Amino acid sequence: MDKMLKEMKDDFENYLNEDKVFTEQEKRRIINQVRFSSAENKRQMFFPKVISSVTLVSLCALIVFLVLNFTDAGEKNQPADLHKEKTIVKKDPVEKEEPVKTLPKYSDKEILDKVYFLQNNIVMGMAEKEVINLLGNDYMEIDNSDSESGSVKQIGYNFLVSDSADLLNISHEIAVESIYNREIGVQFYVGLSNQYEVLWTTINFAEGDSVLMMSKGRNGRTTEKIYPETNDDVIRFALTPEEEVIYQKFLQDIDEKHLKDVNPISIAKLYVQAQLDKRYDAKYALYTDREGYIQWTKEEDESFPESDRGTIIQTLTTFNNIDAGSFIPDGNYGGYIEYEASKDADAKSGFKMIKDEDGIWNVAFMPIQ
Amino acid sequence: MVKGNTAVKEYPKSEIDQLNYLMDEYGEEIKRLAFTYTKNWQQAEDITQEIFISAYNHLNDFREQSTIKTRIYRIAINKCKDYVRSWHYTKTLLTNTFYQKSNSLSPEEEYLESEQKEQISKLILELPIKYREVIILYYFKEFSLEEIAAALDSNLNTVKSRLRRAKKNLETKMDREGGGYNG
Repeated sequence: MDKMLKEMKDDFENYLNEDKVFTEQEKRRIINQVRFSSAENKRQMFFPKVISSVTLVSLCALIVFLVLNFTDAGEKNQPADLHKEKTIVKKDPVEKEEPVKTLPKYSDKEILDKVYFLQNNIVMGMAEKEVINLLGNDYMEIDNSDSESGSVKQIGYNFLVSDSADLLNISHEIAVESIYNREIGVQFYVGLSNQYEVLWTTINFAEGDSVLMMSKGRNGRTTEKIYPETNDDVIRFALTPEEEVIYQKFLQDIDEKHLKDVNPISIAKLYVQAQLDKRYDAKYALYTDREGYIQWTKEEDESFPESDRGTIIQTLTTFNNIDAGSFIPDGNYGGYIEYEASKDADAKSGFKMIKDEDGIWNVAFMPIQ
Repeated sequence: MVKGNTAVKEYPKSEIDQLNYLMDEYGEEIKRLAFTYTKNWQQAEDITQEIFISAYNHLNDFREQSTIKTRIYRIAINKCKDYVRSWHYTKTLLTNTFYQKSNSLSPEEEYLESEQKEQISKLILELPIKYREVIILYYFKEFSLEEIAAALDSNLNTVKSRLRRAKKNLETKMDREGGGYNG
């Protein structure tokens, strides 16, 4: 093996590419980039110098002005207080009170933290009283007796509002624009059964340039982009009721026994859901543990920064339509799900799966590599 | 081949000349190395650009304690690993690598058409990164084990055992794919 590998250096390089890959053009581009950055840095260095020079000159001018004024006051024999009064009178109080546009009070991170708090703490079957004890009394009750969902009423909360007047601004209609503008951070609805127990929940919130809705109930769970609407693709991901049951069991103890006999597409969907829910422990557990296919440890996985994990909208876009994909076996224990993430994409997408020694389908590390 | 250690003092004096020197000397092999991580030439090009800009910004770090080659490989490996772990990478691969796969020949045709060494090269690129990189650095970039340890910021024993496992892993894959290598 040693001898063979040593002999095949050129074959390997030719396999990568027989031609030269690093061109003069690329070299020039790098040099230009570096020169541009250096010029930018110099500019940044230049401005502080200009500013300090201006500050110094202004300071000198101020001292001269004060000295002259003081001398003047002394000459006219006026108390210094008069100068103060004069100055105050000159100011126009109306000018000071220009209306200032209110900026969102809450960051996207605070909004997401609230979303995950609601997602994890308000569970199916919970009593109405428990919900109110946990979330407070600032809610609106909405009649829901004619709903097809089976709930007799719903209660709605607005969280993280910039203007307190919006706190109870809740109706059947989702306040999409206010959510988009972050005037309302999170709009949360709970559907209650005739036993006054939680039947379904819906969380509406903004992420980046989109408004998203996360809902769960008897019919499984769904995460979808509701604003802005696009003409072509619907960006939506859902677990079926059966998958939801398996997902809930799996989240409880992260034990693969719940995944026995589950088909590869459903396993892939659990992986996507764990990513959407930021349950990285569950996501890692869904990776293959077949020898030779493990690419990083759980500890390494835990150390990945949040910024590398992708946003909800990125996850939805990437795995859009995976549930409608087809599983194509490849080798003795491999395979991939072929699916069409977007109608506009040049090609179909692929999601690699590996069957572990225990016969359970798992996700390959970097499944879309 | 001399295992490549040109001391910093031999560098040209101007910083731009130093960068030019680095690119002339290592541009080709660094871009090829980047490809072995990304398996995509466009991404390899972007990373190569980042690597040399980073090297330029850290020219002062290229001091006695580290040889130029090891240092630039270390920057390269770190950049490549950051990249393959990033969201952007996985997202791009969606419309790229898989496109190649769906257009490629069937495994049977591919096997018949490819020569053995090509097949092995393909298998090397399929190895997990931690095994792939030690094989490439040791056999194809002709690094010593000590240089690999420095480039990967790892200790010598780890590199040795990883190289051993990498070969074992490759052998297993070769056996599975086509009855192993007779040579």
